[in-house]
Amino acid sequence: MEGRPTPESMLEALDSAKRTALALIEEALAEEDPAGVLESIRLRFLGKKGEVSLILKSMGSLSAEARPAVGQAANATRDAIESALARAKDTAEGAALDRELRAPPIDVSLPGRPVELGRRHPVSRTGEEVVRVFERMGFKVASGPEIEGDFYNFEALNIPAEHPARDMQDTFYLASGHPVAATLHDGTRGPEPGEVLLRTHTSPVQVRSMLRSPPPIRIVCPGKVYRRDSDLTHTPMFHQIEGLWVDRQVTMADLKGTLQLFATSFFGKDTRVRLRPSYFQFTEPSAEVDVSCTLCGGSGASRSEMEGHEDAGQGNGSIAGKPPQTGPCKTCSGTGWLEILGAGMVDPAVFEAVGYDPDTWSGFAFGMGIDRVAMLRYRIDDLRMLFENDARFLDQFP
Amino acid sequence: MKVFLPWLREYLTRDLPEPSELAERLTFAGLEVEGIEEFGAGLAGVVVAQVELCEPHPEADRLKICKVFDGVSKRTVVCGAPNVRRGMKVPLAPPGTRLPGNLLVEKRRVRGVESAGMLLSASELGLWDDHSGLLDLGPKAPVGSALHEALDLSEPVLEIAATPNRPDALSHVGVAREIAAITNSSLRAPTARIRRDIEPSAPYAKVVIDEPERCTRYVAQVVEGVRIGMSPPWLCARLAAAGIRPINNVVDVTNYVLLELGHPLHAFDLDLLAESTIVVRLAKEGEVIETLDEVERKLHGSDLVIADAASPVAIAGVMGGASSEVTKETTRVLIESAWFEPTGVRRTARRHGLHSESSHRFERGADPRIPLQAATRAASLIRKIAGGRVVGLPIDVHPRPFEPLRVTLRFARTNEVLGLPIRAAEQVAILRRLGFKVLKRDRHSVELEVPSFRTEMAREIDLIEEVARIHGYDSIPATLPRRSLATAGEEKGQAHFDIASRLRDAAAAAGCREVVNYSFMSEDEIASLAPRDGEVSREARALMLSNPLSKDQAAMRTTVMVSLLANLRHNRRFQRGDLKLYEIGRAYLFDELGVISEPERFAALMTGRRRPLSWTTDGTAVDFYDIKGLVEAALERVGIDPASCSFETKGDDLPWLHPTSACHVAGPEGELLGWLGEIHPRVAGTFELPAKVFVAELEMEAISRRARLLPTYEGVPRFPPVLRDLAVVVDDSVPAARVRQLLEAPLKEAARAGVNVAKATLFDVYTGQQVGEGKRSLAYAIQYQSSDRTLTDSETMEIHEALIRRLQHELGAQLRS
Repeated sequence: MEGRPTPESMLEALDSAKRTALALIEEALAEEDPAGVLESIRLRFLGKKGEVSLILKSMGSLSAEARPAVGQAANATRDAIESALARAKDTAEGAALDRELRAPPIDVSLPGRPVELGRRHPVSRTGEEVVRVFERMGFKVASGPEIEGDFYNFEALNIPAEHPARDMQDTFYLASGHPVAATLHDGTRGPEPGEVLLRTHTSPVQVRSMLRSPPPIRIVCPGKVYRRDSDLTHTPMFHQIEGLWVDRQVTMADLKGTLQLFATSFFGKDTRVRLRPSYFQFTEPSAEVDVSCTLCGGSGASRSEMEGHEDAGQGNGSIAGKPPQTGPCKTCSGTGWLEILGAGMVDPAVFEAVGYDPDTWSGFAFGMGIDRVAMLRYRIDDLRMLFENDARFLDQFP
Repeated sequence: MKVFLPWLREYLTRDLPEPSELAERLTFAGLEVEGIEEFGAGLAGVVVAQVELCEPHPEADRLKICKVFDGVSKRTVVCGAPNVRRGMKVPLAPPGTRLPGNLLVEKRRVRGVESAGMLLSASELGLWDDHSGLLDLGPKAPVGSALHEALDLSEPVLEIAATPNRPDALSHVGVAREIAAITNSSLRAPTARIRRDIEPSAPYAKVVIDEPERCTRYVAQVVEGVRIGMSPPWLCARLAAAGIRPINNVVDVTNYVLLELGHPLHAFDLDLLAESTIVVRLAKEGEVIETLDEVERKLHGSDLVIADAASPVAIAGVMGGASSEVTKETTRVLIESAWFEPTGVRRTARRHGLHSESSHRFERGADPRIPLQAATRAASLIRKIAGGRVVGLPIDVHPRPFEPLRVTLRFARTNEVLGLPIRAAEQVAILRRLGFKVLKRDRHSVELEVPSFRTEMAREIDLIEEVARIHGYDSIPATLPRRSLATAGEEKGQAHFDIASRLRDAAAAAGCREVVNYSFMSEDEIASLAPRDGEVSREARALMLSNPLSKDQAAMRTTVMVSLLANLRHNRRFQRGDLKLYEIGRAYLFDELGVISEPERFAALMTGRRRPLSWTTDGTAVDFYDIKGLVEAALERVGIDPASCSFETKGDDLPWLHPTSACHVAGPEGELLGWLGEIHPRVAGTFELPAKVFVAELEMEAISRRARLLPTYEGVPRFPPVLRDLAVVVDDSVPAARVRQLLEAPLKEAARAGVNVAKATLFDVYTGQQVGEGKRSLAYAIQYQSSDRTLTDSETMEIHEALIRRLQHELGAQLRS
């Protein structure tokens, strides 16, 4: 600047700066990116080396009398520009937000990014759920070998060789030359195991558990079992869960109560349980246990909605005025009951085989087919689907 | 056992309940009724008619023109049966009748003669097999009445599935006894008087028992002058209703008594027995017999046989021989009524694959007291329906007299077992109704004699079960054990179960589907697990089944992986080639000593696209690091820090995996946890699979030893970490694990300053021109952390530089700018 600034020239310069700034701010709002332009305006006028700042810095050359007036004017100019900038910024942001909000919406109908959930196999899931119910009743899980000795699978369970009860179970045997370890799998020595076979039931785990630990005992043993049978209703391998509760004064009424509690916990609170006399070598008295049908609720009659569902596939759909179907329930064949368990009081002969005193200890045992329960639960009508592991089958159990 | 209700009624004094109710009551007393059918159903319209005239058909040699009277009118019927004769009473189906097999009888002309209906045989009526001609209803049949008036038709048959402990229920009398006990009524058992019509001309027959342990009693009764022929219709109907085909009157009587009393009998043609002699002995090695089913059988030295003076004539308790069979020519029969020991019968029956009505009963234990009664009953029936004279008294050889069992029942014990108080008087009453005899009784107990038809009732608990089932299981209350705190179980089982549950979570989170497979594999699959042809690995040596169902299921699987590969093969047929599967199950192995083990495994398989096909994904295929990621996640889920485990390139012991991308997984102390990798192309070939299938298996036992399912809280640092990136270039032979190890091991300087590397995350791996041949760049995001202060830039910089110096020193690493 030529010469010393006068108060007048400074006031004039301030005024000019203010007008220029306000005009530029006004213009900036028409720009595509007003924020950037506004920032450059701020720098030009209010930055460290901006026009207004320079004027303020040069005030040192003014006389003391002139300073307050110029100072005031300078501050006012700065405030005016600042507030104009702020307003313009608000306006610009508002306009930008407005534009963004008015843009065409995204295609919300495009599918989301897939999350692969994985699937539980219905048999394994059912088995685990059954176990969880018994765990809540204080049972612990026990396990045992699937490749068993004749002693554990039959002999100790009061099923001697040549007993007709063996006809009830067609057994897979291992080709000769493989001694099954004559030791229990925790290292305790057991009796000679005899011929080597695939266990036909989970009951040998009872024997092993009792041989290993003294009473009392409360266990469930889920696992694979094998019978030499393969047709529409049998697979050579299937799953059972065995339960055993041994203590003083355990009664058949306790067996009934335990199974009743299981049934209501697992199948629903209205489920009823009934016991029919039966025969197993390792329990006496023995019972087949039925639960009221999970589909018809024990009435034995099919539900019309189910029938309607099945009719739909035949093309003639629902015909108005057609009376509801009242045929027998397909799940229980109209009996109202489903046979799901075998059970009974542990036979004294089994206690003797494992060295428990049958006069002191009593107990009950039960065995249930898990696959059948899974089929009931998920209404699977073809047993063989269970072990084909077809993805189209597995995908139905998320 | 099929039970025909009209037959059953004969033995009961009270009317039977409705069949469905009867079935239910029997079932709930322990004799399960599996089904109810009707014998001779669908024969409404068939009437009894009498043939009044019978003349040859002029146009056909084999046909006859009959005039028959149906009780109302006479009609002409053309008939081709060989046995049609004048005066005969036979079933007639008038036109319009529908016969079994949906055959409609119509009026029609047969070779020019109009036939108004059809005269019928038992086969045509669907009753039993008989191709000898018309069903002869006998002279007493009421002409004009419906057929079911002359024969028990449209009557219920109960199919009873008697459990193996109930041989007593394998007869009509036995079931009637059970019903009497359930309904508290009485039994009217059939009786037969011992009689003789003629004195024998001695010696007429001889019985010798060489094996008194195997045959404790042998009763023989001879009847001579019998006329072999068809049995009367009522008897045929009863046999047929119970599922046994009528053969001839003598054989039918033995079967009738079998179904009535439950005791198996056999009839020999006495004239065909050498020296009229019966010897009960063991078969001699090399002896052969042709049994009634026309099969020649080589006998075993422990088979018990009935022999005559020369050779075996029957397999004792199992089946008779053809050589002494009762035929049309037979006139003298010897009825055998014996008791054979169950185990021996069962062994022999199994050895010869012969399961007969007779062996079925002897195996389960026939009534040792009944042979004389059964023989007498049979003789009297034969006399009645086949004529003949009973010769002498029965020959009764009885080397081991039967001793009835005695069992004491403590009344309180019943209540202790059942948890249901049943009065002593009722307990006794139930047992008496079942045929038990009270020997001694006091306030606390009763001593009983077990009836001879329930020889398996040897213990107190057996009696308690009898009381319970007749009293009714439904009366037992539902309670819970009151004083039991028992929780003793087996630790390992519970631990594996809990761990399996965690592993399933991890696998599900990785998008895997769970599968459950048979435990079998095929021989081809086993071979594919061998390192090279001719070599054997542990997994290529499988436990073989001696009686597999098929070749595909001949062996126990040695890895769980083989099942997953088979699942992939199956699913690929249905265009499901993107698969992530897992299974928790066992493999079955044996060691050098032949000792079997069944390690439980967690196995997984991944192949195809990494992410499901979607507009958001690019279709990249899974690779080694996907399966490794799953394994790491699984380990983490059971509390094993994957960073504490080592993944090292395999040796030669995983021959089913690809040599360049496979590894063992070892725990912190070097213990083997499992393996993972890409399958070997040879295995892929065996399973008809594409390349790039990744599999893993973890050992549950090893995992379980290392697992920590209950984590311990360690605190969260209160001060923010400082983040710095670090990219180093190292030789590409340096494993990433080595770099990481150096990064995470504490530095001396840092330890003094209370600073550590909380985390070093590898976020980029680069090979290429920019880093030079044989090198790669590894870039880490490092978090520096102090537990007692906020770190300053300068102090982390110092430590960062120390870290770089260490990498340079140890690995010759260069900093990548």
